[in-house]
Amino acid sequence: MKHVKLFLILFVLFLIQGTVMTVFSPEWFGYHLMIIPHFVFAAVMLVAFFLNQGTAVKYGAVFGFLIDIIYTNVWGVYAFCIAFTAYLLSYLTKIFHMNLFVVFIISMIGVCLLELEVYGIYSIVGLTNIPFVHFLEYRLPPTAVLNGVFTIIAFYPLRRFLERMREETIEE
Amino acid sequence: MSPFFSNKKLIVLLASIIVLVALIGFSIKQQTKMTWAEEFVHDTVGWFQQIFNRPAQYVAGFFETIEDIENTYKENRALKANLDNYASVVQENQQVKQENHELKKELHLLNDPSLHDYTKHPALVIARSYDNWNQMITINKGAQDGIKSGMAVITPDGFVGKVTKVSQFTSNVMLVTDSSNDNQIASMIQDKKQNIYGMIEGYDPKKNVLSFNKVPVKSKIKKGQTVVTSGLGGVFPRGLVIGKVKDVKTDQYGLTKNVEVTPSAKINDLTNVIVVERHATTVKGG
Repeated sequence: MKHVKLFLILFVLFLIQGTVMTVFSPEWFGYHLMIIPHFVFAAVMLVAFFLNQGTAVKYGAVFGFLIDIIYTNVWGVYAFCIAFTAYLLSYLTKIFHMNLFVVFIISMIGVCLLELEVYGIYSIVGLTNIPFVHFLEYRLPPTAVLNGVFTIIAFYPLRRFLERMREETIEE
Repeated sequence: MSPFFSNKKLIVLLASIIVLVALIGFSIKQQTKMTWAEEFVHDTVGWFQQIFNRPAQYVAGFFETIEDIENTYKENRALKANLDNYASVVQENQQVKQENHELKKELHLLNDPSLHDYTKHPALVIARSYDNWNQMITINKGAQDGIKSGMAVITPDGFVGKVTKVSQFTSNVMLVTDSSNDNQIASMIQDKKQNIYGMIEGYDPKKNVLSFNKVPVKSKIKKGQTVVTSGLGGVFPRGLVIGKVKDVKTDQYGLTKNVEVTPSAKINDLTNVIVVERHATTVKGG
């Protein structure tokens, strides 16, 4: 039952990052910054921190593949990158105590990592011709900040939900 | 022992990289046709996207209305200035149309659809690719509404892109700003004496210009001229407005001209689009 709920939460985030955010894009207000919402990835990271690694990788791969099919022309890039990044970052739970501030910083780093991976693969395949400096300047910082802010907003409700889910799975 | 990569994990990682490369290769090669599973995913998600998109559009529409009210006075003045010409232009247009019709009648050309003719299918944008790499939108019309892949997509302002993938109830549109290689449009500049032909290929996000290439070096192009589709690519009708000439340069070998074109459609802000089906026979792979 809890898994159905988690699936629904991620699915709603997946819809939000494709529909609602593009309506309110900054370019619409006349700014040249590129802000890319990675809400699904931010939520998958929280799953990796507060539930367990395996579930995070599974959900990351499934929703990454959904993103690939719906929003891109190339399959497998987001599926691989989201699952892989969440897997790597989940080891940080052993080093740090996961409070709000630490999660905020790690999620910003994670989003930067994800963006770099996707940028790398896309430029190898030849789907992008944006120069790296331009990418670093106009894309990475605003994207990291937006997703960091999203993580702060989602932190308490999602942590409570995930910790309850964890207790339930342990009891079973 | 390293906690990150034990042997088993390394094998899983390598296997998934192989799968990734295979998937990338597969999906790049297979461009227009969808499998039934893909169609199912697209249609299901598309249905949910419509639910989410409407309220967002309303809120955005509200802000747009406020902006419109602010600009009304300025717009009204500009429009009034234009209005003086309007009556005479309408008159002239009617005359030319009639003359054209008569001439065609004499030549027995009336039954062949001209390259200019097309049917419009209005559609709503229900989602947009959120990462800037893929410049792609999803619209709420699909194969059931007569949409086919390759059709041109426009707004009242101008050309926007072309339909790439069609499922039963939704379809994907690749915008002109997408930087993939097959995003080319046969287009031309209509001059009084003759047409200047070339190809729109590629987009520069920094300057917000499309590059209009393969233009003969001798052609005289002025700033502010309008670039339209030529219809010679085999799928689009002729005469859809793409944009205005911003700058003209000769290419590095001195053989052709490269022209920078500002797109006339507001590509960053799309809510309603029109899919265009041309009446003249279409050629595959155009």
